[in-house]
Amino acid sequence: MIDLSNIDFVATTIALLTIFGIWSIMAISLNLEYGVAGIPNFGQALFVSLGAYTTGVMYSRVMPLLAGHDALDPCDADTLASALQLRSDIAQSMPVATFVTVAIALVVAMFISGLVGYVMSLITLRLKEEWFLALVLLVGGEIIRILVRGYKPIICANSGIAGIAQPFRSITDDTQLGTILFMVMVLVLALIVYWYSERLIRSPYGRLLKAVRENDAVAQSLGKDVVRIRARVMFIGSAIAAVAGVLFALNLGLVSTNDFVVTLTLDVWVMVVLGGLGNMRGALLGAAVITLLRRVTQVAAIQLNQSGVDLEFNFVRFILLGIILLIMLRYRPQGLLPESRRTTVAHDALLTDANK
Amino acid sequence: MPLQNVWLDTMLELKDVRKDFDGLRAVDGVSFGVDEGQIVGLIGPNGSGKSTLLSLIAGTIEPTGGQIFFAGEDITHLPANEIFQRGLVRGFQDPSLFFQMTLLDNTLLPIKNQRGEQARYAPWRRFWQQEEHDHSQKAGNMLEQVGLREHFDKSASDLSGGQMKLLEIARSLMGDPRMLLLDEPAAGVAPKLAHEIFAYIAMLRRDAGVTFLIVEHRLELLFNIVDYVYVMHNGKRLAHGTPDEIIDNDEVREVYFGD
Repeated sequence: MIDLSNIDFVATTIALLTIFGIWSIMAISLNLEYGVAGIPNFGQALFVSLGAYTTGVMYSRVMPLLAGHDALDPCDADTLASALQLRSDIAQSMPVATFVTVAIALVVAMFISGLVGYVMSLITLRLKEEWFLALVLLVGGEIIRILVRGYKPIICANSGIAGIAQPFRSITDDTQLGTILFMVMVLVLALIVYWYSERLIRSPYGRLLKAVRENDAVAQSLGKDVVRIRARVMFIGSAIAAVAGVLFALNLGLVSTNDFVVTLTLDVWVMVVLGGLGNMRGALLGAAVITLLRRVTQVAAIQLNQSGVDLEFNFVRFILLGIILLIMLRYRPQGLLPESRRTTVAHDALLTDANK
Repeated sequence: MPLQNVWLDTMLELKDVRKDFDGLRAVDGVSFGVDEGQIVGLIGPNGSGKSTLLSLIAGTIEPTGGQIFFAGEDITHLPANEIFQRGLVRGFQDPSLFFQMTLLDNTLLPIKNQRGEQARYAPWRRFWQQEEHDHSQKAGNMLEQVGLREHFDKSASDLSGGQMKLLEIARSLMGDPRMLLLDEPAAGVAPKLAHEIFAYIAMLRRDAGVTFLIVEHRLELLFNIVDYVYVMHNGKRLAHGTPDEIIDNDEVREVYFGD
């Protein structure tokens, strides 16, 4: 019944690894915020979307200028088609303009998203505890999504911005080579984010974050400015999420508010809870499992529809994610790969002393 | 009641401190002073406002009225972390350790001005490795002093109740306190260990010059080491004096000992 002959396994593998890299970055970001620092960020979709919106703005406004053209209004009905054509042409022929655009998008997106995360956290945590922040981020994310959806000058409201070509198309005509290079770029960025967050949590800073997570009142009594510490880690986490947002937009070739609904946040939560709170390798494992699960259910949905089965299999994915979440919280709340107890090299120093 | 004489070397001074919780007056106009290098006891029946008073001093909760001075500075409305930075450190009634963290991590956390605690330095070990090494030696010695060094790699949740109390005192000391507020350091601790804890407190005062304000129900332990005692009842200061004066005070006997 299920026909696999029309699946291109090489292309699928490339696509899966790329998506895995992007989701890994989101999972690491949330794991740093919630797993390590205990801040329940239910606004992950917001920070990812800020990265994507920034990419849309940079591709439509800045890239033409870098390539020496006038920026055409990407939203106006008269210039829409020519603006799209211009973007595509530049992205396929002018590597410098393309890569500079991507670099600017990354830097600007990280800064904007980090700042939004920092300010929202600082204001909210001054008033109430961290679960209030969770709600503010959840609702705030949806409000900002609806605003962007309705306000044309950012990403042309609900029509979005298309023609966000992958940057490596500018240096090769071989489509597959382009996607492979993009996959490598995504995985390298994911590796850098992983390495950075690992270094962060295995330092006195990681110890500080864990202490704030375990008992914020005591941490405050031991001289730590809890609100500021939480706001700062939200800056870092939100900036990381924005990197995923930029890559998300580049991978999809399109920026649309439809992709940043609450289910994206929930997918990332399942990854982190499944993989292991506070363990960055766990975040990678969770991202891998959920990426596969998403793809399998998507393929199954298409296959089933083609063979005439009257079942919307995409919804099965939500049921599966819910079941995974429940099973993990009930039977293995620490996740598949639990957090390591020690933080810094200090333990090794005392161990060597003890063995002398 | 008259204010106690205020000396130049007054470490902690409370002036008419009040705290209301939804109309309930938990602390009702308490004034007293603790001189530098003293060990002062704070006693009273359950619900008399002792723990609330410690929280007010440490900045965990904000007073409704009155003023609190530490080393001459008005700290009434400072947040808890700022008060800690000035050298006034509190312990908690229930062990309030970071239970999922190791003893060593618990002990290292309160150290002030750690470069490695700043996010911009944290990923680069060369900025903080030496500092962290020095701190861990200091923490190791502190754990040694309270007899917990061999357990440094265990989770704090693996300790016995008495060991948790010891670890909490050790952790408080890592912040280089000028004054420690302790809330029932001997509660739920085996008698032998309780004696050791109080002997340790006396030694810290003698050798390190730390000032103490101690809430404790086990008066037989407390009265061995304190210089002065304040008695609280219904949110007010009922009496004050040396341990001998307090034992002979009829009012105190009535509310506290129940005879």
